[in-house]
Amino acid sequence: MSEVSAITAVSAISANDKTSQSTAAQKAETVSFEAILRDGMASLQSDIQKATDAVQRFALSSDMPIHDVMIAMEKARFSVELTLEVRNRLVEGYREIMNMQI
Amino acid sequence: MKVFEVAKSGMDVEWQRLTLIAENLANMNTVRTPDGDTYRAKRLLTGPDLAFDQVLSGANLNSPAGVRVYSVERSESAPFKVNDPNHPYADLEGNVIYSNVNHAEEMALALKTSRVYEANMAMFSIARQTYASALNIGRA
Repeated sequence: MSEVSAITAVSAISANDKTSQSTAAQKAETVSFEAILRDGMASLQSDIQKATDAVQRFALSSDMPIHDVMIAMEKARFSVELTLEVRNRLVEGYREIMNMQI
Repeated sequence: MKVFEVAKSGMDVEWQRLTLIAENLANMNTVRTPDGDTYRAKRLLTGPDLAFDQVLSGANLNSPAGVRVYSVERSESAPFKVNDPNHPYADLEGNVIYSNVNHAEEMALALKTSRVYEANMAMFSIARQTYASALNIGRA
């Protein structure tokens, strides 16, 4: 019994996947890669700004709990790490293509 | 990034609870507050960060929302009565009514609060490690 239900579940998921893929493809046509990159850089900038603000506020008044500051800084670090990873992979792909023998 | 928000809400709440416990301990020997009453231990009431209209509409009650402070209430345990006729606040029978702050209770609560805070910190760092290892997808 459980196997049968598992199979139906899988087919349901794959059906879902198809629809989500087609909608994603439609969206991808409208959003350019450059725009995605620019959005990512903007959110990175805002995260860094938030961390800076948190540190500044903490320095000005000790009313703010310390974990708020640390979490803001940690979030900024996540963003920087993600950005670095995206950049590394972009450059890697670019090099791969440049080294192609024609 | 919901994990981080939820863990942060837990830390926020426990920090406030710790502040209230400090306030209670600081006021252990308080006999009278500015409104003329005895000091009563303050307790933080907390719960899931959901609004009433969200509950009414029944929307995504199972999605994680974190925790938030509902209110600060006064403990209703009986205040300590001490016979000290020379105390300026002694009543006609010579009794002074001190706050109802129980030292052992506050310390136990403080320890529990600090453990919950630590647990939220551990949760944060586990989520952080998971995030870092997800960044390594396709690399390892």
